[in-house]
Amino acid sequence: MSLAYRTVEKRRIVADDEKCNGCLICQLRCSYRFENVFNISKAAILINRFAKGGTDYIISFTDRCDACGICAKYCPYGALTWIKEGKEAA
Amino acid sequence: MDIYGYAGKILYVDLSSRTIRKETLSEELIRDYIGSLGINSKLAYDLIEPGIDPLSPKNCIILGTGPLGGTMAPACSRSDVNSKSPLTNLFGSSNAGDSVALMLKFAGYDHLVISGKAEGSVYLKVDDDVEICDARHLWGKDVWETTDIVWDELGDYWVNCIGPGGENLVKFASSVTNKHSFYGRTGIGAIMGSKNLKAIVAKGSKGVAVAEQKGFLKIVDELMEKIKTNPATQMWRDLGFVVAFPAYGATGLFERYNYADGFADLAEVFSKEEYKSRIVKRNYACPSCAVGCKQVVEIRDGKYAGLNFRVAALGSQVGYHNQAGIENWDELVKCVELENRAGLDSNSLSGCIGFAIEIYKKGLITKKDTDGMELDWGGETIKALMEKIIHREGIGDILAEGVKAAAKQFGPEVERYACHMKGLEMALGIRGRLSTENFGQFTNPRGGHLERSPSLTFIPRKPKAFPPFSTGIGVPQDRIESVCDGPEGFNVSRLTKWVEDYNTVLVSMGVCHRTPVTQHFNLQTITDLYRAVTGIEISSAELRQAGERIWNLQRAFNQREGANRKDDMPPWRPLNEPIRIGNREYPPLTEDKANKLLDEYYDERGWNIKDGTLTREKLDELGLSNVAADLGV
Repeated sequence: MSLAYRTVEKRRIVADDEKCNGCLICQLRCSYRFENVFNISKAAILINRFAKGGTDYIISFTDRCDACGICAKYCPYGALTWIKEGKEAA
Repeated sequence: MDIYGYAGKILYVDLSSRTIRKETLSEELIRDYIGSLGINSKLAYDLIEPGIDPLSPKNCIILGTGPLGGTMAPACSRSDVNSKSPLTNLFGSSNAGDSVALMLKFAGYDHLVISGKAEGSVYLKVDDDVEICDARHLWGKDVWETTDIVWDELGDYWVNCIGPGGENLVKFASSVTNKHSFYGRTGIGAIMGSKNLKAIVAKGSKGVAVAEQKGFLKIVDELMEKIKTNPATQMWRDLGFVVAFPAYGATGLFERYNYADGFADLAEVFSKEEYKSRIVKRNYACPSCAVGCKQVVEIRDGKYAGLNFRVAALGSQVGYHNQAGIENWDELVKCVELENRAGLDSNSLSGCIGFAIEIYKKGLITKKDTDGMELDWGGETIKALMEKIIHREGIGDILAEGVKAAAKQFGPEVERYACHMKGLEMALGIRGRLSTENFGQFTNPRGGHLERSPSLTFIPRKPKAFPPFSTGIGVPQDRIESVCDGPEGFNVSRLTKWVEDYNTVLVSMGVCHRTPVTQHFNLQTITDLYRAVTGIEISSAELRQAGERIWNLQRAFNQREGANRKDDMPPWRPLNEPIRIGNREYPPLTEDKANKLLDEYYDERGWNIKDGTLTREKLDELGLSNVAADLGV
């Protein structure tokens, strides 16, 4: 299992690459929060869809990410978990 | 106007003169033709002169995603590519879920039109700039090699390219995005090859805005919740099309040996247990899709251990490869790997090879015709003939023209075994049971394929399901009785008309046609979504009529090329031979029955029943009086 973390203050996003399906919904939703338009190049969460010759996905975060959790709320595949104050949050 | 949902531009690239032009997407185009397939169809009708050779510089490659593409609308990022097909000499069309067209939209273009022919091999690079680049180092490489080279050179651009199939002008060559997502059917890869265009690569940094943000997110949340809580979603994630194999086998949708036999035991030979335990590593999704019904295969043991790649529709490919008698999952995965690398359409390739094997086994061709090869059902022959087709060697050069042209080469006695519609190799059997999906092969402007007419009819259901379904897709109340008439609860030819129009709306928006997606949509949902995204005040009736307009315009494209009723007729075999499916023999469809079905279909469409041509009245009603004038009706 390959996990990435993003922690800001008492909020944390845990990303599980193996559950990621590469749908980019997290990236789209994240960019919408910041930019008010859907623009994957402006998102604070990044999905590398070309890993290992295009059969795997790698999730990472930019410094812009404030661990707000909206990506986890919208992930349909359970690849992102939002933890707030030490507890899994919806 | 304020543009929401759309990028707002069409990019025109002429490879002969190396000119690049950008045009604003007009309000008129948007209102009348929606986007993707719809606007592409209008551009194709206007830009592609009738009578041209599809592999000449005069043909255009027209690529476009829809107004919902690039937003979070679930499963709405599909795109269509259109042209004059070298396989059918009629309207060509391919649709893909995870394509470079989406990245073109993020780069600022809803549509891309490529004309002319480059002097040497080139690729088109679209980002903040548009550049025609030297592709000499890519020419000769297969799809996976080309994609890897571009990723190494440019980073995370989305790469749509051809392999040796397209380079060698195999008429059913496809073009492939990011190694796995195919513009599969009707030979787009050959057209790219004819233009010396190896690839289209794109990376976008622009955004897609929506007009009514709260309303849009509310609809998205509701659709996401429906997808998430539907038990069928997980089944599709685990199995893709394999989920429906028992029904496909029992109802004769999947046949084998060049449509000579039914395949009732399909679900046993290609079992879901083996698929899950030995073949599939995981599922994956197209952009913005919460279903994720595609699979990464990984074979860990046996002859082909180590094969690991993404496959958009392996379950469907069982159906196609059955025509050439593929034996098991392992052989199928190997053949799919080879055709993915070469950039060939699985369906047409298998149709051509199955045809060759059958006529060889019947003694209608001999080793003199096959370059000394013994042809037999299964993977060994498929792989050997595929090599010959890719490189156009010997019999491969004949088969590379498609089954219709190959049959003409081999002589009139074999033509009855060429299973195609309009020159496009069939996708589904039609003798076991008729649904809008397999009947749609008769009437689809691109020929023998199903994805323009998906509905509830694919597998048997209770008759009472059809009136609410029909109302939901926009069938007017005064047509419900006729459309929902019959022992199964529907009249297949009449219902197909409405399904085609509705589905054309979905495709023109960018919506996926697969069941786990479409079951959550109806005409009202898509209208609400479209209005929220674009801010355009348009009624569901107007959108449905746009779907009908687009369908009629594609028919006009074909009529202008000389097509009529004869081109809607299925091939000889299903019209004249019975088929055994399990313990039961099903009679041939017969020409009489096919004619009756077409009569009803033309009647429902308001076309001339006698020859299936468009009428002045219908074209005027759809605002296509100029087309009526072009056609002289």
